[in-house]
Amino acid sequence: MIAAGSAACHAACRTGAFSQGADFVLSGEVAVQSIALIITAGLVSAHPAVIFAVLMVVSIAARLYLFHFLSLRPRELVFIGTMLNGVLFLFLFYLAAADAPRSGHIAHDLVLGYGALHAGSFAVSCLLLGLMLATGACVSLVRVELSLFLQGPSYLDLAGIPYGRAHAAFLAASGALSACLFFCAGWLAAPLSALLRGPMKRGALKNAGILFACIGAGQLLLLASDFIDAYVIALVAVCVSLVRFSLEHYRGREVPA
Amino acid sequence: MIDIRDLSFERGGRLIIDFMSVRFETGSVTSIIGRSGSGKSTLLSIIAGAARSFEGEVLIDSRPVRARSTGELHRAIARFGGAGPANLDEKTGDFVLLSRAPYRKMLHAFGDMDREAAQESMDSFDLGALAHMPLGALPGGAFRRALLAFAFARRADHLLLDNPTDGLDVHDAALLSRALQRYTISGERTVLLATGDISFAAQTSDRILVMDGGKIARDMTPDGISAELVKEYFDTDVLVSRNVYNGRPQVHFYT
Repeated sequence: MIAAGSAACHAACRTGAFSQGADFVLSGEVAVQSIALIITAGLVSAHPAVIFAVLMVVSIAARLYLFHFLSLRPRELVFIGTMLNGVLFLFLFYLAAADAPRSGHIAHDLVLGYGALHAGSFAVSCLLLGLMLATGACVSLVRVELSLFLQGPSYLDLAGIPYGRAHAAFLAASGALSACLFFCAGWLAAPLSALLRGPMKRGALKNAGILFACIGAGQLLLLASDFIDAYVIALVAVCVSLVRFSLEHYRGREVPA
Repeated sequence: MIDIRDLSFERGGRLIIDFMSVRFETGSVTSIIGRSGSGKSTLLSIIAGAARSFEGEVLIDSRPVRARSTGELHRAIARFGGAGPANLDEKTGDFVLLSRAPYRKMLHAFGDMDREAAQESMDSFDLGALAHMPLGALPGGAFRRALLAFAFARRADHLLLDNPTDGLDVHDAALLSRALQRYTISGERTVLLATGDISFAAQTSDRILVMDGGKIARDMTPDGISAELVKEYFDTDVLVSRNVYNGRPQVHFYT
């Protein structure tokens, strides 16, 4: 399941989904998904399929809201993301203080991935892994269109594709990938997305190499999680995201307003 | 050939292009000069099909620009000076290759001809060694050259350059001048430059148009550039000398 999450992470990074200045930790998307997971598992249903469906809807809605309707720029995005992560922190603090039912499991559900802990049968894991690998392969097919899209409306126009619709479709697809990523690998995947840079390396071999490195790193993180507290992993995820963002934007380059 | 007939264009209640008629013959390099706000860039946008709410007619190779599909327009016209690239992580070589997208079928890879055109354009602008460098890591001048290479790589029949010399040093401007010569050497392509750099316009163009208040105030050869003309349309005192190599006018400031 962690491997499926790593493959989802690789596919999402190849689309450039997290290259808008902040990855899914700093943008607050993972905080929104975490809150949705806690509420759904606590009040609606703890069935993995229900959780997966809710995460999918919430993730796509969050992406569309943040990037399409609000059209946040990187600096604003990090500000909003920090606020959302703060809300999550307060929410977790409240649950722990109130000694809410299942509050002891929440940290593990969030950090290791709900799917990995509760829907981790071999068949489901293989299915999801296959799906994520196929998604990654599909990204190669639309490599040029994606490059044009990432350059902006006047560039996508060269391929005769209307930007508005493409933007909404891109956000929906990347939202779905983000949900898979969180469902399969939780916050554990955050350091992966921070380590993977940029969309689409050229060459199938190079991409396959990065994919396997990503899956390997995911397994190492899983191993590490046996010895480290779940909250420490979440903290490391936030730190890695912040370091990456700082390196990218403060080393000789201004953060876009 | 680009044929403009009775063109008028209004934006925000202000008339930007005022009933203009002009023809740009195939095989020529024409520079449109004039002060900021005289309508040069707007004229290029209209020709490129980016602004469609105009009155009058704009014909590209005898076909109205409005009747052409987006893909057809991009294959016929390449434009420098629009929105810059948003993804600065893209490698310079890959970015220039994207210019060939209008010739490519959807979901297909670029062909050898596309790669050859992109490579030739990169070489013209001395970018060969920077092909693997991300756009965001390029120095300012090289970044501008990459944008120029993007426009030239299209190999379109009509090339529109909006303020192409902005941010270019002497070396870069010389590269652009040579690239323009090569681009039009076959006599089958039309180049339009909108620029405030009168000296560059005089060195590289066959024809100069002076725009003022949305109209063409002068239509002349580069030899028509004089200190009086610059005073009249740019309200600036200058000295105009002749290039000892090609005899074309060069503009010098007094201060």
